[in-house]
Amino acid sequence: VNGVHDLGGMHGFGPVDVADGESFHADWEARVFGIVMAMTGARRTTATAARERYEVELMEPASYLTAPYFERWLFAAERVYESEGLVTADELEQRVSEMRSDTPLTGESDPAFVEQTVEGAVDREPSRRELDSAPRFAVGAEVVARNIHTPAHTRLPGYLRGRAGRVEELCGAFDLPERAAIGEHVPEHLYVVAFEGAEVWGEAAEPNTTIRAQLWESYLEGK
Amino acid sequence: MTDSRERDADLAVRTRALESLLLEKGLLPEGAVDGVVEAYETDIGPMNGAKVVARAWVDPAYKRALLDDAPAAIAALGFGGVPHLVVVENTAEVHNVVVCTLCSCYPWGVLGLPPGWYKDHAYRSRVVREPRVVLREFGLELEDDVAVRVWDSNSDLRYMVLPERPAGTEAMAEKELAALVTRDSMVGVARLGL
Repeated sequence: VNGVHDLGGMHGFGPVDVADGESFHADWEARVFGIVMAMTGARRTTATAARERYEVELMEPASYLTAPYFERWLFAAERVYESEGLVTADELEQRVSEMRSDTPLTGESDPAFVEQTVEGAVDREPSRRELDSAPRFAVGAEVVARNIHTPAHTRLPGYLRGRAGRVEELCGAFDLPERAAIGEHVPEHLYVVAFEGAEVWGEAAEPNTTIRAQLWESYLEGK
Repeated sequence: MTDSRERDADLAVRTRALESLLLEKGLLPEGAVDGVVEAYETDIGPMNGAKVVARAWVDPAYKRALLDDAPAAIAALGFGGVPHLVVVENTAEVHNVVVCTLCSCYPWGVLGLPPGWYKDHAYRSRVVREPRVVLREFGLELEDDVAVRVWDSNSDLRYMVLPERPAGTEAMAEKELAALVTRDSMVGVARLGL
């Protein structure tokens, strides 16, 4: 998706608010985090991280830019749960209209399930995959990030497209995000590629600066 | 201000409505959301990464293992949750700094959840383009001959910085050293001093 989430290099956002060190700014933000991680930990949803990111990328651009961070998580969660038949949009709107801030939250008591859910939310599964085919590029190879513009989820940042870099490291194979976002597992070799600042930013680049990103094999072509 | 307060109140209600439905349908048991939040607020945070850094400073073999295979090395100290962690070392010649331009990827298992600034548009848009200017906003002035490496966490890999051990700490024990290590130094937006 060529979306506003793809922020690398953009102007206009002002200085970094270095004093904003908190992870949560309100109770509901912690609840959203807890809900999403608990649903994953309890294996109630099969949505991949790629799918959740893709949903966020489909937010209306102006909303993405003005929404608090965890509103974007909530937006994605609602869409994922609805598509999986867990909570319909009608049910949710109905419940929102009935909800009071003091309505108690009650559910089944199941300490073993709670423990299993928390463990699942904390232990992340490895996502490196076995792949029989040999990697196309070796360390030291000169490569170019392909100029791809896809409506699908992608992890090829816009600011690197068309830019030349050098393979620094082979990382093994990981599921291609384009496919993982729609529930398909298609591993590809992943590479750390280093780009010189001037190659990416031209005359605006700061001296003696490089960017290192990890790019899937189909994002790259030989120089 | 009123708008933002109203939006916050609406989001609080919406979140509570979603949680109540998930509980009512038996999709989540009572206490699961609290348990998850508590785990991330109390057990998982930059104090974990700080212990890893302090061990690497006092034990050269551990440091080599950490740079070579970080998931195994942090597991040896009882930490996990970052199966594809990579640790990159700051030196007098090279300064590493970490960002996620596309969302907010961050090594939770060793650093906890990211601070607000890490997730904000300003940091994500700018640190790849003008890292030295951004680092100055954090109070870090890098010499021109220090090479800056900006790591964009755009894949399944997660990056943590091993900061330089400050001068004057030679006599300190591992536990004292861990207390010196800050979250910011492990993201790469700060250097450590005494």
